[in-house]
Amino acid sequence: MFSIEHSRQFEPEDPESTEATVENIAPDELEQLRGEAVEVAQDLLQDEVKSLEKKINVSDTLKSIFAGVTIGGAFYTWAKMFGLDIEQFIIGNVSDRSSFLGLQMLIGVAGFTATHFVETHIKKKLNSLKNKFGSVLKNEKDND
Amino acid sequence: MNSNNVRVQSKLSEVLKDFVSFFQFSKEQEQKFFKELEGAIILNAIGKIIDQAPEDEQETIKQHEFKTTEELFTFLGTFVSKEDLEKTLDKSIREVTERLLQKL
Repeated sequence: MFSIEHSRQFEPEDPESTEATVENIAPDELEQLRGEAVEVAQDLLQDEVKSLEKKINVSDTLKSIFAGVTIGGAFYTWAKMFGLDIEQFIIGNVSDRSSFLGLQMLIGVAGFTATHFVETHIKKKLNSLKNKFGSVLKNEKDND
Repeated sequence: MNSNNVRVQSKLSEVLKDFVSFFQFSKEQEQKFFKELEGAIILNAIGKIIDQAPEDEQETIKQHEFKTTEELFTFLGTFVSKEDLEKTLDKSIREVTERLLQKL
């Protein structure tokens, strides 16, 4: 059972804050959320594969494209082909390369507006998730 | 990259890290999540570039069997400028990000 103190921690004091924490979400609920997030990313990729299938219409080709983008490094290849300088978009310690580096480079190449767009939308989503779980906790308190 | 872009990119990194920390992904899940998202954006952009290709290039795309990603990218690079690529990527990033966040 969550305490009042716990539920208060989830009330967003600053709507612009992106500080994320899951310490008060039930483990099974968190596991479900995590699984859903990975599934959504998989679904998005599959949707794009199907869409390309209609445009190129060569299944073997699509397999190679699909493999190319999922094993990583596809954007690196893409950027080289188009003469884009992607090294400049690597922020921070290179030894601390995280799995979102490729995505970050891709967004960086697209420019300021895409970067700002993604940052703003993810920030909003994080706040809405915090609000959602804050509401759940408050309802539990109300039912006590 | 100018200082404003460096600042925005740094903020983006922080937001993505917050996102990861909220979900508490395992390393494997985190890797999968971002790779598939990146892949979805790249494929979406490829689709958009094909849609924008001149008619004769569209015909080549339909008839030619591209064997590797590199081969396809090289071909696309023959009729897409750097500026067009950036605009297309911008659109694909917006579209895929919106769909991702709507479904979460």
